[in-house]
Amino acid sequence: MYTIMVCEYLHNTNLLSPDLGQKLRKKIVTKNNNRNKIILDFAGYDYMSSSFLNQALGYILINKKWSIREFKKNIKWINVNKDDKLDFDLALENARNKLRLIQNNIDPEKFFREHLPAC
Amino acid sequence: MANIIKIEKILKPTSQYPIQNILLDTNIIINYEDPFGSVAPNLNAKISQYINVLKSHYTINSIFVTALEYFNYIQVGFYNVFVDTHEGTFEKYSSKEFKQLRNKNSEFAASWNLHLKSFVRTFKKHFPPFDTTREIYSLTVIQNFDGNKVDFGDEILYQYAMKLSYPVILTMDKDFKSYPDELNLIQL
Repeated sequence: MYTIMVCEYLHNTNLLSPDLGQKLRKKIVTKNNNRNKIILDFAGYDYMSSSFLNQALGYILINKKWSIREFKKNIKWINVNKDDKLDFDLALENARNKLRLIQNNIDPEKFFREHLPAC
Repeated sequence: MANIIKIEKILKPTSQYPIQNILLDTNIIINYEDPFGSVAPNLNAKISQYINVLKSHYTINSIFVTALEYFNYIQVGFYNVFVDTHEGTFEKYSSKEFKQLRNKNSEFAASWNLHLKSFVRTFKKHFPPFDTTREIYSLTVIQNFDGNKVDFGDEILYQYAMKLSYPVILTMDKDFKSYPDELNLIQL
């Protein structure tokens, strides 16, 4: 079991940019490759964006071709506001959909352009 | 033409704009919430950052019509994404099919439930509708609506904004520029 203090590691309490998400993902993957289960401790964060979560967590699910259940067996999170927990589930759900598209040789960006209503 | 204000200007501590409420257009909420993980990451991060800073200075609201437009976006988008990623067939959105899947397919129902919870949170906590007691849906609004410049949702948002002491909308939609200069648009 390996705990990452997210805000300390990223030196930031505003978890908004995709770059920060990528940096966290690299750390998670390195530690998880040693078969450690990872605990992400979000104590002290102020804000969190969807793009941060997609980069930090979503792309792990996609790259490892995990199911959501496998993901949750390997990676857990604590000290997340009740309201924001929903964003974690949505990030994994969206990553699973993207993985399905990629496995069917469909480019997710093109897919979304064609399948989502104009806004 | 509507008055354009660069967002950096209203975020300055010396800002002279008498803004109290800022109304959000649907495209801003979609790019902020990113319900399908489809928004360009840098755009989502930029909008999230601006919204968080704006929230610390001003009251930010949606309106009911925006909630309706957003709901339509997630409902149609969710159906299209689910059907094609799970069943490999692209069926155009059908409300009848949507209801059937929701009632018979537990995976569909569980995923949709996540989006519904997120929808409620968006409009209950993040961007509550502005002044829900005000009734602006008079027939005059419909009679005077020029559908060639903006869509009807934009028109209602404009009508609400004009009820503010300082009418201002945060949007990425250039159509709003066609309104007179009493309306202020915050540009990202």
